[in-house]
Amino acid sequence: MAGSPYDLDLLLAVAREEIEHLRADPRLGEVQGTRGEALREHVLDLYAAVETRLENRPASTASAQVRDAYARSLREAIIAVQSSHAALPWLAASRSPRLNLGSLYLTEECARTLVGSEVDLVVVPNDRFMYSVVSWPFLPVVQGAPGYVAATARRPIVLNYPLSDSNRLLLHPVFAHELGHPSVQEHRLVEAAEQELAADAEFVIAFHQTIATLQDQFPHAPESELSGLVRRRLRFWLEELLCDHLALDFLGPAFLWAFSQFVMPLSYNRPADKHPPNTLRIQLGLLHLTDRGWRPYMETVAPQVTGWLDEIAADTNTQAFGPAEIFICSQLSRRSDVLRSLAAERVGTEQLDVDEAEREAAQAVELLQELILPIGLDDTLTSRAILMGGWQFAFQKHGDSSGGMVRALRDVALQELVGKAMEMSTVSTAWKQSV
Amino acid sequence: MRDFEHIEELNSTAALGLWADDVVLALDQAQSGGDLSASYKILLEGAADVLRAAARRTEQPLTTPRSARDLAATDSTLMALATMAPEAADVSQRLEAMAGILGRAAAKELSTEDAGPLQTVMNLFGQLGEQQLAASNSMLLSQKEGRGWLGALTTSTSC
Repeated sequence: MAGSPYDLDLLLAVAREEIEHLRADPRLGEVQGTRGEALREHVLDLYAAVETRLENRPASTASAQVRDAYARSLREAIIAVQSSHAALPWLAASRSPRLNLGSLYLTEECARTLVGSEVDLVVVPNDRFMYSVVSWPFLPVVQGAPGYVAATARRPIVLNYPLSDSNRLLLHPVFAHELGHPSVQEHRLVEAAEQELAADAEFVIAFHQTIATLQDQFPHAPESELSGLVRRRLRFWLEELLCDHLALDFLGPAFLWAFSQFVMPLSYNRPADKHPPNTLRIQLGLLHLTDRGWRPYMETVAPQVTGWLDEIAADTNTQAFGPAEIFICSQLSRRSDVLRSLAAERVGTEQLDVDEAEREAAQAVELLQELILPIGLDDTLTSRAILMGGWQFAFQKHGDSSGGMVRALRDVALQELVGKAMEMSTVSTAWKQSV
Repeated sequence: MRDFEHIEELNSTAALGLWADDVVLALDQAQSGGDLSASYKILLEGAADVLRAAARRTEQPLTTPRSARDLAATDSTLMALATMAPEAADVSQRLEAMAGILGRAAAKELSTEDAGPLQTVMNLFGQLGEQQLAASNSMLLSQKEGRGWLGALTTSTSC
């Protein structure tokens, strides 16, 4: 029976053995430098937090209910400990990063801007073809251990990218979106957006109408469940859109170009539980870039691609959607200013300056045309402008079209040149700051 | 398009289960009359807050819990309560009464009249623990799309 002395003996032995086994794994050993350091501490925090639970075995005279609760808690703790196996390859990856170094430096800069200075970024190639991020993966279990105080203060972030994309640098602006997730969590941006929306009478009326419509469709579902459903989806979509907006503020149109290349082959106008339809994301992204003053630049360097993106944006059509999706799409389109202002506030002075970036990108293009490392003639160009210039040159070389963008991603030589320039830009800037 | 191994969701689901079972253990300690640790006191006060938030949601279904965790905790609590007593009315009052018990347990002010209701509160959190362990196992075995809108505490994290 669950919670019997035999059962508890088994659970305690398994928990101790799993922790001991994992602690002995060489991948969990000391890291060199600082990359992976906070992640390692976080994993060790998990084990220490679980160990505090192991000391609380109830007396054999305790009620069956109490012993059963303790047994359940041990099972949950074992599941959490076992899930930390996933962190071992991450820690191994932190010792030998395979990502283009220029891209890695820019990604680290992005993490510091969007999330904060106290981050530990580990970038891991993934055997799945997907970009994703995990941050503080074990925190709920660590924080939930009564009386346990975590040792880790620096936020660990694990960024996964498709193994085959290590040198597809033009796609790497997608990392900025992924880093938006820990930024949104750290700075509670979804809550801030919700607060703005809750103060909007039109939004509140539309929300009530949506719940009423859902009640007609699902008369046996409690109202609190229906509102929970809509709220949860709204939060997921808000987070995704906030991440897009943060990435756009940090990287400008280079993000939208990379993003369209990655997501449009996957789906078009289809809403998902956690993701808004790509048509809406492109629509709001374009609106954001237009609002920031990027439209003339985009129409100059890639008029056909801009037209293609406009076409996708115009295809945002909610006719086949359910009431919750219709409500969220229409309200977020109407109040996209909330997303823009929250992103601007977060990125602050690090927002990519249109005039400066455009001028620097043009210089990068001039150098790329001569097959010269686009690091700058007089002053060092910034990594972000070099990346934008890389895209700009790719349109010239491979065509201003969605197909041209695909061909650009196959241009390894171009992307290596851009990456090397970004790497040198970071090194040069750091050197100048140090002297 | 999913986050890496659903590891955040799995840990959030497990953490909610751990929390529920910790409440059972803390109530047992409070009931025993011995010293109640400071962390258990905080735990019981937090549990009382969750029940009050769940009660508010039954009275005003369109109110929004502040965080994803609060939304999941109150959803799961309401589900556990519905499982224990499917036909029961006055859900809000029952939740408020249980929150009162938790508050008195935290303050070490339980009386002999509280013994019966205290058992009901322990049953509720035990039920919640059962639900969460089932959810954790389900996520572990399927590695699929979490628990939809009923359980996940953390946010979507893929592109």
